[in-house]
Amino acid sequence: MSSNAIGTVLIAGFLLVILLFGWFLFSTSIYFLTTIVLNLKFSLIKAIYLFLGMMIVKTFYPKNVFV
Amino acid sequence: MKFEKAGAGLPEKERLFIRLFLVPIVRIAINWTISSLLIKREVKIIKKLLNNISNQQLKQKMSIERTFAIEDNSRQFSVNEVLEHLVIAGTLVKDVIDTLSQEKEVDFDIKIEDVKPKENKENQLKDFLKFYHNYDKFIRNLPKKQSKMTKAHPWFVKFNNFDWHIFMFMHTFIHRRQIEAILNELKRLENE
Repeated sequence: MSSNAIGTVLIAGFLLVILLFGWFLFSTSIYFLTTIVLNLKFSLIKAIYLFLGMMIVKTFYPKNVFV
Repeated sequence: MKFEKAGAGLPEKERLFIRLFLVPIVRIAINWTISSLLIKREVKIIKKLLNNISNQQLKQKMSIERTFAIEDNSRQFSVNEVLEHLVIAGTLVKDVIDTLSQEKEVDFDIKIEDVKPKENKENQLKDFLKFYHNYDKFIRNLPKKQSKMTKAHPWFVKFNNFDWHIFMFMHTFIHRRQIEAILNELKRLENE
């Protein structure tokens, strides 16, 4: 693999991590606001579950991209 | 130097990495707006990269090491040819998105060999910028609804209209990296 190709994969990976972190912040912010409005206890584990749930929905809706 | 024929495709490992790992992750990490913003960013980078490059250098065919997700046959392009390819392929993708958005069947085949550059003409950057401006306008006016109809990419999986829009970003990105490789090779030749 050329250095350019390795660089491309690294840039793409870095970008994806940033974007996924952005989605995590997005779902966690909504969850955090919900805990404030409904006076619930904030749990990081629940925030992670919520994020994973959102990712699963995004993966399989409206179709399975693995097919 | 001998290159593989057009449409020969990617090495199997690289193709599977993109198909089974990159495509699904990119699909969940990017939405319509993010993809449009990333495409605009790529166009800006390409414009900046080509700022002080002479017309002769833009037309000069260079043999480079294969860059990621670029088939062997495309290693011999000039910068202008990369831009021409982006316009030809982009026009096809735009038509596909338009057709799929209307939930109609795409009745033409997508072949890699058909989107290869043919002219290596001057002022290709102007055509490139004009195309991407029109593409952005087209996407802005498109209802952001994922189509049920799909059209398969020759190397990967079936894409709906949304997937093709994301593909436009990835495609522009990998060819921007190719342009960088060509410019590095031109610089190396100049310094020799």
